[in-house]
Amino acid sequence: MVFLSPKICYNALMDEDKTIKIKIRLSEDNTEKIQKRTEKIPKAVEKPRTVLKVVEEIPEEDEIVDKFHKNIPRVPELRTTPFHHEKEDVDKFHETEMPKIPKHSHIENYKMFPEDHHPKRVAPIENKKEKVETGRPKIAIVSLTSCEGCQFALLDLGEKFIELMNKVEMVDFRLLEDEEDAGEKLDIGFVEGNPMTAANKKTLKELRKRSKLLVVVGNCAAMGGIPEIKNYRKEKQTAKHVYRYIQGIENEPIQEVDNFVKVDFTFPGCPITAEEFLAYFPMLLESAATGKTLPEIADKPVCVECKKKGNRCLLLDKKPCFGPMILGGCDAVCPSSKMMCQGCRGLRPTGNVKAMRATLKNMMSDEEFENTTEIYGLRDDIEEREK
Amino acid sequence: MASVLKGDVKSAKFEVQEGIRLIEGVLIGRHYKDMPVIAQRICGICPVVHNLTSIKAIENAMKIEVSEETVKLRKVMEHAQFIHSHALHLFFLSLADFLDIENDLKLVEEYPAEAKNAIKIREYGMDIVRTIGGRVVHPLTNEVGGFKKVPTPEEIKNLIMKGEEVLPIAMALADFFRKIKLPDFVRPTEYVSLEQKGEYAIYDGNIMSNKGLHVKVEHFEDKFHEFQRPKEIIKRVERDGKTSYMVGAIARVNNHHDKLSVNARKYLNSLNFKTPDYNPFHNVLYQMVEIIHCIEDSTKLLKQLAHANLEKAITKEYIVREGQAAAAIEAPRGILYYWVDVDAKGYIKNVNIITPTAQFLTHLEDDIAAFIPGILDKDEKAMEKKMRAFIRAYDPCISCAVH
Repeated sequence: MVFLSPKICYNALMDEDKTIKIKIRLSEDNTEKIQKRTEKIPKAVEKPRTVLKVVEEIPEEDEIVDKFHKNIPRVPELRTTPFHHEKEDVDKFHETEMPKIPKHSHIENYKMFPEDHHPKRVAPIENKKEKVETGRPKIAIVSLTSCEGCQFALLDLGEKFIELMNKVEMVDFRLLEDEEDAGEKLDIGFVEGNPMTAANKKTLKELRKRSKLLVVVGNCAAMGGIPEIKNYRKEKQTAKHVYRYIQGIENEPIQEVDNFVKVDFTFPGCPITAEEFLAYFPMLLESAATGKTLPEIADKPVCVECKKKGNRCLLLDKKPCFGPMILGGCDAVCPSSKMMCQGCRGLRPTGNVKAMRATLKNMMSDEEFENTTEIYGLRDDIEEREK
Repeated sequence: MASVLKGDVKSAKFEVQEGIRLIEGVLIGRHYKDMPVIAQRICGICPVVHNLTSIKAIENAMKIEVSEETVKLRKVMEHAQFIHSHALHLFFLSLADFLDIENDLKLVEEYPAEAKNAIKIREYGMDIVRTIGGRVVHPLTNEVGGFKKVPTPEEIKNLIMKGEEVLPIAMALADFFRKIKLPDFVRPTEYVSLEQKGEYAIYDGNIMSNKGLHVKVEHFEDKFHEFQRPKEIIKRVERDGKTSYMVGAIARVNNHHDKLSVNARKYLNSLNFKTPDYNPFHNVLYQMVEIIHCIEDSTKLLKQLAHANLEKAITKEYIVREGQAAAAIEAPRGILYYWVDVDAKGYIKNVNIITPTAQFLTHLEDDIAAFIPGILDKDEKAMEKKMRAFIRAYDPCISCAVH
């Protein structure tokens, strides 16, 4: 994973006269070093910091912006030849559509290089693939807040995954591709991770709008995942344990994807079962193309596959396991490693919670049961079922 | 969403949309057995090391001793984690930058043989994690005290065979990597890593640096200060609260090149880098060095395990008791540090996690600050390429940094 330091904003723009403008924003600590190193470079003309203006859209951030501005020393702009930009251009630039900024983010954490929106941009993005209409179905895999493990589960399929992807046109898959997603219509939009931040939610809603089918990938998106544990606590306290300064940091209760948009199909699991993805993918493509009824994952407990694998039932050894009430399809990967099923794939439609509780009575306390169901965001679904 | 710089700084689709998952916060009040399960979900690329570090911290806190076989199996998993994480970064994320190729897909087209080799190396790493851990992403068999399930002797033999097959492949890929041109940029710094007598420290050891620091892991937080700047969701770490420092492959190889395996050392010598080497771009090649080392070392460990009684690695009964302790393991990107406080019933009272990316973030900034003035005379395209290569050479992980 590649991550550009949020503390530094580097911006290289080429305008019509091929002059180069570089912006560097640095924290106070770095200022001196930079100044020393850049003494020989002709002083830059003060110019409005276009990028920072972006933040005006979000009032809460104003304060940070101001503070940030004050903290920025004179260093920011270095260049070798005069600018030909006029102030009007800069203003015009501000009027154009601004890039997405996560509401919570620290000032430097937003999309830093908005020159795609710059009216004067002349440098072509050469490494963009030429858009050729292939006639193949278009898909995108979009990631919200997560560990990205589900995407790796797919990538780790290796050649099988590449074969599958050859049947489609991948419009956006951040793990593999460099190209910017132009926002075109999709046959299927896949979404991994939890829509935690305002920016996440916006991304999700946009994806829904442009997709014929919206498919959820993995536990975080489907059930809230491990971050949902905080919902069962006093939220502020949870954040207080982690951050000294929690003001200005987005910390909403965790909600699953289907609270925001309509979901057509769900690949459950933490992480997803890649083989299951391979099995249902062609059916989903067909549904998207023909409007045929969507597939459904068979209502079978984890136990079916577990037995097939010849595992000894954990419950028989008086060890707790949620297998009977949980939706199968994971190849019983946990019980096969002698790990109890903790229900990351969620309740199956006819899963019997009452019977499960009765079975587990002598193996775990109610409190332990509840605690365990919290791990993958199962607890609220169980409460719902028991109503 | 973890932020991914999709390759070019200029058009920079750089967004941090990552929300705070509050992993440390949600662990508090939970049973210790849940901790490895939850903590490994910080990162889908390096779950093994999060899983093992949390297990080690709890074992240290409860004073649980594990068998030699357990340690060896864990070490093999750690090696495997290095192999598949490094192979992914090195070939598929970083190489295109240094070969003047526009993107990774083109890279695979132009160098199909090398791409295949990189995939084979990666698969070896994944095979190990799958065989020992039960699954590649978020392994299942590790737990406090040992393993729930151990591989069969046949499975171990199979892995040894694969390891022997993959070593020449790695050497061939390494040779190919010698051709890439890395920019000259030097900034003296402090390299921090684990150290262990007689071995290239990955799974265990004390904290050391090339500036003469030697402390036990439990004193890590005395020497390294973690803090949060208001409104920032990534916490930072500074040495003695003042200076930035570097962790990861470049730090490890600089500190312990004499402890590398035979072929890894041979390859390192062929690169003709003078140590201490302060060129951060070389991090990529040091990852290659570590891949060779980890393949050789994992095969060596597996050979020992083939003759061992693996049943000894199965978790034995232990006493749950109160305690506080720290633990550190070298993750692919540098030292991963956990500290945990457990009560007498085994519930977690407090926990702190410091990831490699959080540690080198300030260092990356300092490096970039020093690097930019030197490339001002380049044309835009060249400059942009260098910046992108620079950041990629660091291999930062945002899922880990914001956890």
